[in-house]
Amino acid sequence: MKDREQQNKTIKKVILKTVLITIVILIAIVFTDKKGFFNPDNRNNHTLKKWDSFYDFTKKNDVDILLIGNSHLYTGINPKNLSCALGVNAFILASPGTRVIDHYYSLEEAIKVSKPKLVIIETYGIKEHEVFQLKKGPLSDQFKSFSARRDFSLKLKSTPYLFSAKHYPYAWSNTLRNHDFIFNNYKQISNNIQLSKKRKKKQQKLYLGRYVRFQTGVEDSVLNLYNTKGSPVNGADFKTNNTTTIYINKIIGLCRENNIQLMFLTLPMYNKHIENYSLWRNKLKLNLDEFGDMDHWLDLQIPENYSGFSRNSFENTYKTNQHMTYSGSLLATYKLVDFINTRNFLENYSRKTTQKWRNVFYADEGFFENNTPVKHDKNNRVLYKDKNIEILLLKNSKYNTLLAKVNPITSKKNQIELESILKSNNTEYTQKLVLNLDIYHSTKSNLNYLLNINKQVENIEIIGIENL
Amino acid sequence: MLFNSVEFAIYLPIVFTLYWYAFNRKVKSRNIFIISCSYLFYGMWDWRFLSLIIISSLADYIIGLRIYSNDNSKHRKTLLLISILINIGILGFFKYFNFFTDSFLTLFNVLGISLSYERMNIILPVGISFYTFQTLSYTLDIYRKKLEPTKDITAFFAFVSFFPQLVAGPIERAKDLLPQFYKTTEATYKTIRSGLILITIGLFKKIVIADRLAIYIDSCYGNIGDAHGLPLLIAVIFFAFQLYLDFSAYSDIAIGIAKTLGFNLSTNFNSPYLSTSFSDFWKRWHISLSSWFKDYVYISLGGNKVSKNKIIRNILIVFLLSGLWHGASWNFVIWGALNGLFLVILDKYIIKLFKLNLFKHIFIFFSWAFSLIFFRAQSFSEAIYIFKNISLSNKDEIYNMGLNSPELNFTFWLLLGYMIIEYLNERKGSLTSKITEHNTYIRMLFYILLVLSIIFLGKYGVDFNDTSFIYFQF
Repeated sequence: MKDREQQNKTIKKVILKTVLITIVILIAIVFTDKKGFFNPDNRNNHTLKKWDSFYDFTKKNDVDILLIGNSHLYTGINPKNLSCALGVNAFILASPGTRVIDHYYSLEEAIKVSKPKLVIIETYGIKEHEVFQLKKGPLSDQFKSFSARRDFSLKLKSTPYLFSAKHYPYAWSNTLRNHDFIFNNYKQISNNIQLSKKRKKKQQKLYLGRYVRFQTGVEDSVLNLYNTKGSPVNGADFKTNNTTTIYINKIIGLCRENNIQLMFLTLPMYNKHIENYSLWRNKLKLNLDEFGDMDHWLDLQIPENYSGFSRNSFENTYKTNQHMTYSGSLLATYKLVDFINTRNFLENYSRKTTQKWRNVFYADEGFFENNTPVKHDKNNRVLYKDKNIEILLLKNSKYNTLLAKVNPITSKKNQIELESILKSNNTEYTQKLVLNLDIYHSTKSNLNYLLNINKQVENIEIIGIENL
Repeated sequence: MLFNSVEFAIYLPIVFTLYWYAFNRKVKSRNIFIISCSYLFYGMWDWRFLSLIIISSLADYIIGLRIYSNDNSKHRKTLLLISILINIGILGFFKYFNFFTDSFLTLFNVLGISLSYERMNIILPVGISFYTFQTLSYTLDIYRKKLEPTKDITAFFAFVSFFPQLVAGPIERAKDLLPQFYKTTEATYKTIRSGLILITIGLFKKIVIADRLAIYIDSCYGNIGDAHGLPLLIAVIFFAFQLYLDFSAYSDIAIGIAKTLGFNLSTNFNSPYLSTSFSDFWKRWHISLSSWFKDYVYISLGGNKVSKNKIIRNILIVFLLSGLWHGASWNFVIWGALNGLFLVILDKYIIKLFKLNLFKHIFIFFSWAFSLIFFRAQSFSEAIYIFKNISLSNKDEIYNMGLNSPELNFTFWLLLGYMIIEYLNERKGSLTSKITEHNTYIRMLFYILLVLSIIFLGKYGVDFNDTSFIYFQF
């Protein structure tokens, strides 16, 4: 009996000391993590930027539309234009390379912070996923997305589903993941130490999660490849598995529990870039079966929704993963606006008349495409307006812009000539300005055309319009 | 399950806690618990090969009892032969079947007889070379009347499958380890503490030093056609250290784990690079295997009690077999033969020429390191290429073998520091023992710094290929 007591004492002593040492070690690791000594170079980490902005934005604002996906989403939708067109707060939380399992956990955390009225899931991430076989790029993407989130309990809960056991420590700790910086990247440690001494700068400009990477569209060289080699993407290769189905259902269930409207969005690739899309679509349909009538799915890849997209809407690449350009994203955004309005997902909800909303979005990207400048605005004003067209002059620090908002029903031309008087340095002169209506976005609701003009021009007066 | 894995870091504390709080009250339940943990440990590699451990254990348990109860020498010999056939048969099939078949085919081809067969896809079960030798030593000791067999089947099964030493030794003798399974163990704070320290030191040797060396070596040997000069020489030297540190690290961890459960395993390494002769070296390197071959092969062949020529013959046979034990390849046989020749020739004629021990250490080290070229190379021709291309030239390339300049320099200092500690351990007594004599704060600081050094300096990570211990492949 005495021996047993002595033994128990001994074991307790060992366990206690081991636990104590473990705690000290953990404190050391948590310290270096919190200080960020082993952080990777986050200057281009826009996933982190998105989540930081999301938390900042939701301190004072609610999110009405939450879009979740991966790189296809943040290059394919313009959240400011979406917000301004609908008069709501739209935010994109998307991390490159992630799949539907990550979308679910991101959604779970996001709605805990701010419950939206509508959630939009982009479908490119709805694919076959094997958590325990993640390596290199996809694993690194998953780490990035995981690290950017902040809710400790939800991150803890999601860890076993996102990573295999051997990756848990690396998911949680930059110190463990990047300790090799000591030899291979000491400069980064040095930069991190400097950064840790400075206060974190708050983002000045409104950031809602878009990341524009591609400005120019598909070039002839790639078009030739389509002709000679065929489409690089084959819908027949698209696969899903149990994980996909489980997590789509979890997303659906989560939205239902929280009375959130849910829709799915498929952003397109160039139609020559993909063949047998119907096979892909049919498999996706099976997974989205829960929805029944497919009325909650905007598929921009199918012909009836694809109109308006051209080679200029898509990234110039023959690689399988093709994103949209800036112009393509605008078109996709306004098609999404039409879809939401037609199905009335927001039930006519709008913040357009609220001063708080206008303070957030006024004069920002997309605002004047969808709203009118206030009368006392010196930098932005209506130059001309009738039932067919409204022309605005917009000034900012970089350039001046003429924005022509044309009624889509009446306009059939591809060019507008504006007879205008321009004033510059106390000189006035008449000039014809030509707006080329190279349709870069066309929807039922809006035709917007932009012409950048010389910054030196102080004032414009429209005296005539032709060819409308 | 690797010792240096997250899964083992969860497994061991659970086993430790359950062992001391629940199962160490009665011998039988304790042994059954050890068997269960050991089979689980092994099964996580490949549960299919548990059957081999069970067959080997059951066969030798029964044969041991039969040998002991039988007075007829012919019957005893037959029973022993059956035990040898079973164990060596299992080992021979899984490890050497393809090797011997390929070798015979090559021989026939050389003689002008063309034969062919479909090579079997045989997986080598982890630890097979170790546990078969361990159970075989049991029946051999009973046959030689040096040991009484056990009637306690759970004790015997626990002895064979004891997880700390199941997959890479030390190869324990029944007379040393088996009696420890007849009684419950005592938990003394000092023993458990020293076990934990050993585990941590083992992890340091493996994760900080051996795995770092592996990067350089793998980079060199992976592009062997492009490697020449000083980088190759460094890789050869590094491999000698990697092999030692990797294997001794495993032994340290195994011994440390056993200590935390109240068991004592035998020492497997004793500063072999401080040897003063080749004979001394083999008393310090992989002691459990060397002594096994000495006791069961060398002595069976006559040992030192025969003529000089036969002694040489016996030594060479032992080393050839030892080479073959390490791997089913002629490279290993050549390696074994070389070391046999070192023992026979260099000890007698060369080593005695050195007056200073330091020169002996260096000579023995480099001879050993060069013999290991056959051990590491994928083929005989690769080994010859290495021999031909080692030199002090091509200095600029030494930083292009996976370790950049700061890290390579750090590695050199690390090895130097390690050897100094080994030297001090040998001369002044164990440094860790001295540290543990200090007050709690000094001790805690030492432990914390040791663990933090593994965390910050260790070679592990997402992009780092999981390296199992080298001796798992045997």
